[in-house]
Amino acid sequence: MAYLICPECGAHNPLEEEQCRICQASLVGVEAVDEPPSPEEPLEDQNPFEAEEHDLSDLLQGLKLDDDFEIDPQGLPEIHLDDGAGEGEQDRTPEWLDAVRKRAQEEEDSVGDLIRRVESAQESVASEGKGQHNDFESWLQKLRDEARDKAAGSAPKPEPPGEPPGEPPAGLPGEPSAETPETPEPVEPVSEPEPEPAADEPGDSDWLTRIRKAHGIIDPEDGPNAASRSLLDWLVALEDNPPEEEEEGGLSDETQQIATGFEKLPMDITRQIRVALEPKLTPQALTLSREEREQADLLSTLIADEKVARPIAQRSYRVGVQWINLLFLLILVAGIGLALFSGGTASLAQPQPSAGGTALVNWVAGLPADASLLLVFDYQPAYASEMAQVAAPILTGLAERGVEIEVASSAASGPLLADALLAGIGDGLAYTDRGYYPMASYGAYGLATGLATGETAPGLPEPTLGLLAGDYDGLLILSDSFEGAQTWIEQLSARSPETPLGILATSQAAPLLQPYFDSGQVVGGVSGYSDAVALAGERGNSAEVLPRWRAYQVGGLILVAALLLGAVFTPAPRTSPRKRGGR
Amino acid sequence: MKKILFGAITLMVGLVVLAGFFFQDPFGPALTLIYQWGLVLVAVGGLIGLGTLAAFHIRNIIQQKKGWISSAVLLAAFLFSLIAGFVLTPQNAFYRDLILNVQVPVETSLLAILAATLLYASLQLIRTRGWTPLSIAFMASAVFSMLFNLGLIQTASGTLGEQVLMFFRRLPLVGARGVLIGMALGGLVMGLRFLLSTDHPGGER
Repeated sequence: MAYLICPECGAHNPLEEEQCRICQASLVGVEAVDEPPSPEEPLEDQNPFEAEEHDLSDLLQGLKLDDDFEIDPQGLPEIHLDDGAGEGEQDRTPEWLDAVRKRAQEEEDSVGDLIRRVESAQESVASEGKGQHNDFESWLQKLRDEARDKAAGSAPKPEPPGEPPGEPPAGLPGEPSAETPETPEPVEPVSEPEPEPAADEPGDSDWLTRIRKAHGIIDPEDGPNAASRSLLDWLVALEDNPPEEEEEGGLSDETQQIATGFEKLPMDITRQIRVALEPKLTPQALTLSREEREQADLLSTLIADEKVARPIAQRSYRVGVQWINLLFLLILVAGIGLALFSGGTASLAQPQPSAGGTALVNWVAGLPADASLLLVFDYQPAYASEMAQVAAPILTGLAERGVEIEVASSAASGPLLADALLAGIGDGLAYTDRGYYPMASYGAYGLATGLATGETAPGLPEPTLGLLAGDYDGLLILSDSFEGAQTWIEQLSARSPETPLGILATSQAAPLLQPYFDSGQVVGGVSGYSDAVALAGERGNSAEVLPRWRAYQVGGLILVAALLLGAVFTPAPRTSPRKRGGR
Repeated sequence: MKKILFGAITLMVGLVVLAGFFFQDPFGPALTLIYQWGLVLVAVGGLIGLGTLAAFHIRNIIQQKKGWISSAVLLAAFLFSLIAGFVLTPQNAFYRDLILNVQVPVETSLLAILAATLLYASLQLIRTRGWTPLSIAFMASAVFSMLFNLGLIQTASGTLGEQVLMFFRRLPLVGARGVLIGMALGGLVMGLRFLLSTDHPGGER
């Protein structure tokens, strides 16, 4: 059935209509167009082309074969849909061409599949002979002439003078003017190699090619396929992103021409072209920085690690080992208990005072009565019992001398421990609390350098108790660890070597603090129960410390015995790994 | 940018403190200021840690997670100690006994457990490695150090036995000096790494 195609919007109208039913444009002078045959009819019966156009069979066959995506490079002839272009319009870039360029830039291979098909068909035709090729070209030329004639006969805008027929009309919607030519965006050519143009192909008459060549968009070596590719690209753009003008009924002349030609194609060809132009979903490339990748890997690792099923290990103890542990515990508790509460003054051995302990006692005895001394409490409550015995001989001597005592703490519980310790010396040793200094190095450095009493920056408040300050005749450091005493010793001996330092330390800290005494950085030190018992014995008041010393010795002996017995009777290590899955 | 800024601040402060150690008069006020700021930051850090810990246990109680009863006991003890310290002050005898009579036994018990754990670890060393020169040396040094520290072995003054005993007693000091030198060198290197922003104690990369 024939119908009229609106030159404005491309809508189909019955033959009796004088105006378009869609856009009300005039249909006077518009030639009737026959409706293409339906797909149900045999292809031979519905072929609208003349006998000279029967060389399309190769193209159709090639497109059909391509449905299986097995492209035969010797397949089909080239589809060469070119159109004339005015020489004066070479500076103008049509809007649809911009859309094609934009899509070609955004999608690397947007129409590559179809182009590959076309090129495969072209190579096939080229191999079959020149005459057949000319027949196909004649069909294409007829298509172009037909569309051009219709567009020229019904176009509302006259072509500018001097413009050759077949060239795109000027004044396209959204088209840049010649005075302000828009800088063309470069189009990435398809990666497929282009065949060399044949001498008899009308590539030079393709107005699209000439425009693009004039704009420098394509390389002249791209060959005659550039124009057909542009057309196909434009078709792709139309399929995926129709321009607003088209939706509003404002089709450009080129669009109408090509749309008319497209509708005239057999349904089978259009169907296959539509299938080939189906938008393919391509995943967006996700760019991640190295840090983001590392964090993502870490997160995925953590998630995977959390989801791993872990069997809950049930620890099992052998009955014999449990009894041995219980026996060791009973012996340890019984031995220490007997040593503590048996009474008497007997001990396994009476220790001799160390050189450091004797030197410290002599230094205290030589202090003047009006001397001021700073006690630094740097031990934890767990060592309070031992430190009380270690410090008792020295603090008793200080109380007898009437020395002025100040207390600073670099342990959190220091003020409480100082209060408890000094309250048990005689009738209670009077002292001045300087407070808690959370950072021992700050306190030692401030005391050694006297910075706390120095000038501060102008306009800032005076420092109060930020750094320890004072002028003392000596310092006594009560510490349970080497690190705590080390801070005070090294800061003070470096910045204030004239200040005498004494150490009261636990047994565990004594070996590492001994070199400071040997080097003369400290005047002396009492460490552990051994020195405490020895010094208390010299003073004649060892009744309190002897039971503790005895318990200390018994407990130590039990541990030594357990260590030796355990080492001797421990099971031998496995020399060879046990085989998996068997005995 | 943040890394560079923090590194520059660290480097500047470190150089000022280092210069103040050698040139105390011109850098004294700056050092005082830096130390004051440092103490304030330490105090703020302590408060933040306290708040974080309290918030964690409060969430445990509200959501009744596993062990929420322990969290409740901890929070109750914390609040009681805090309020008592504010009301009674640490100089109060009752407050002092209240804290120390809890803290001293608990920490001493932990030390007893530590002693038993070290003994068990020593035996595990023999069990896993067998009698190797390393394990024999370890066991011998541990046993002899404990025996010497107990004062069970005594000799008369001026005898050969006293010299031998002094040799074995000084033997750990040799190792102690080596440890001291190693720690000093390690501290120097670590200080330089922090000063030059090679290391980032805060975890910033």
